[in-house]
Amino acid sequence: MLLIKLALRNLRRNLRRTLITTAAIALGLSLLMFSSSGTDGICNNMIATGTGSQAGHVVLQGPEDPTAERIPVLSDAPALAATMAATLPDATITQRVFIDGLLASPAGTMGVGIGAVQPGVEAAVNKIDDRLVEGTYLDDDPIGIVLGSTLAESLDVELGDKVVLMAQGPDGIESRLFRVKGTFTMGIDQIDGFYGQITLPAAQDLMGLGDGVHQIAAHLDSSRDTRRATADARAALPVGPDLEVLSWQEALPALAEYVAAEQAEIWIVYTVIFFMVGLGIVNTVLMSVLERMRELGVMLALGTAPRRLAGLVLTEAALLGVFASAVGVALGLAIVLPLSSSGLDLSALTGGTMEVAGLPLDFTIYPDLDPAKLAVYIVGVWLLTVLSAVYPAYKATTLNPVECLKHR
Amino acid sequence: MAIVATQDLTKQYQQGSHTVHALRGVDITIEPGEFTALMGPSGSGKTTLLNLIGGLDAPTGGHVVVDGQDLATIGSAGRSRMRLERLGFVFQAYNLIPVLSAYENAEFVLLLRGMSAAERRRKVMQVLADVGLEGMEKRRPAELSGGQQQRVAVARAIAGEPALVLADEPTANLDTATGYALLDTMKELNERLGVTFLFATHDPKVMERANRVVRLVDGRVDEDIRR
Repeated sequence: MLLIKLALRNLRRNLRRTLITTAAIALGLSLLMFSSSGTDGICNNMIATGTGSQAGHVVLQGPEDPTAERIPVLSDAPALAATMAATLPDATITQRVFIDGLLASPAGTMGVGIGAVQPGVEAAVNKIDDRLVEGTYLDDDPIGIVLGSTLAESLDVELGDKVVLMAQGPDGIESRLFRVKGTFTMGIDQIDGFYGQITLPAAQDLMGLGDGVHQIAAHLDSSRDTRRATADARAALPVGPDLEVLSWQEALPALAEYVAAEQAEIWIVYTVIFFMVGLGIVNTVLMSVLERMRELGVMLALGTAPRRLAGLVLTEAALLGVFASAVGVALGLAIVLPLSSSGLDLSALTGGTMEVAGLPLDFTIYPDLDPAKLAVYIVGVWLLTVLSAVYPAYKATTLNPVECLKHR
Repeated sequence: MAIVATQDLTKQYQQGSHTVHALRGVDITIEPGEFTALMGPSGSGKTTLLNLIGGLDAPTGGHVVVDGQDLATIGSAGRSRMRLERLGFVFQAYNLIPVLSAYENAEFVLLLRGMSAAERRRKVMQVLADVGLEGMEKRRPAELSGGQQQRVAVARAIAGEPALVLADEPTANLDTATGYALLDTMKELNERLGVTFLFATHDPKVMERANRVVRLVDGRVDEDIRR
């Protein structure tokens, strides 16, 4: 109690210095919260875009075989999707078929990638319906097709025009007529120039798949739940030679690597922030020790053990750390929370298009503060404050009382 | 048994290339109940002798025995404990802890000793009354006059009932009247409670009250007069 009382009063004694140091630590912590939540927001955006358009947070598919000509089909898709939905009741479950084919119009023929989807469900996870430039998104119409705007231009088709999709059916090349319902612009050449979507039943009919699909995916509210959800799905589903359950990191390894690299890079920024804040604290605490040499000398003369003086210096730093962390968290939350709901519009910076790892990203980033990371930052900043006081505390243990008493 | 006994105590230190002989073989004993004035001109070694007896500094040669223990044999932690439990200090510049009140300054040593709150309160209120500071318990040093601050320092020094109070020029920063009053208080504590004082001083007022005067010249005991 004596140490705490003395430490609190010593912090109050030079209030301006305490407040400046508090501000430095608090700003460092709030900056950490902002950059971390911003990075997580960008990563969430990438993951959401990647999982929404190509996979899911948990993906059910047949084993990939690079030598096979065709994508493995999950023939009992309705039962598997039902099990997935029961296992992950909060997730959105999508079923998809992927087609590599040719799309023909009176003006020409283009090689395309077609995603066959359940429109109502897909609209909840995919961003194509938000990026329509003309027409409407897919609905129950079995011959509806939406096309990338560049692809539509290449084929010289407009809304309502007919196109013919040719693809490998069970017994050879099959073709079906579709009518353009809408065009979209994602801002990525690969998508806008070569991608379109049709309905799942239309694709199953074209390719003779029956109820079969190429992929069943679960889309979670937060990618943080992926590990648990993947484990639950693996436990509930008949995983075997014909069926594998993948996390999004396994299904989209390039995206996972990019996200990991992004997270690693930000640690360099964190290290610089920590280092600068740490130096500031060392300077402040050391100054406060050197300024009080005479007083510390008196305490030594009165019989205070040197380790107790060190304890006093460390207690001051620990209390400063608690105070500054509280201010930093309040400041960080005041910055991050409003942005988490309103979003941070980066369109002015990105010139209208933002592409990362081949994925079109939203211009608006929603900072996402992970409570577990926040706890690590708070403890980290507090520890940094205490560790920064170790040298000044050691210095206090080496003071010579006679020299200190001469100090003015 | 003597509270303090020094044997052939020497202290040298370097000042640039020059070796200063602060003490040149001092033998002195302090008995319980004494009110001793260590007199002598500046540089005669008074403060050095006080620092060595208090275990604040290490001698170049000789021994300091406090309460039967040779300070050289008990290590730094042992000397720290010795100061805490057996010695009290009063400094020329008061040297109170500025963030603590008069009460808390007087209580400081007792807290370090781990004394119970009730016992601390009883002792601190008593010593503050002994030095005439009743009603000023809550004042911080900055709110007290020099004489009052030095009284707090005396209260702090005697609160733990030490075997010996070492006082280094305690009246040097006080005006004559305040100095007299403080010395009267210390003398009264010596006579009424048996507190043993060893002063390093130039102040003739101390000499007037001392029952023993030790005069140091050039680091040696030149004169030792008991009254």
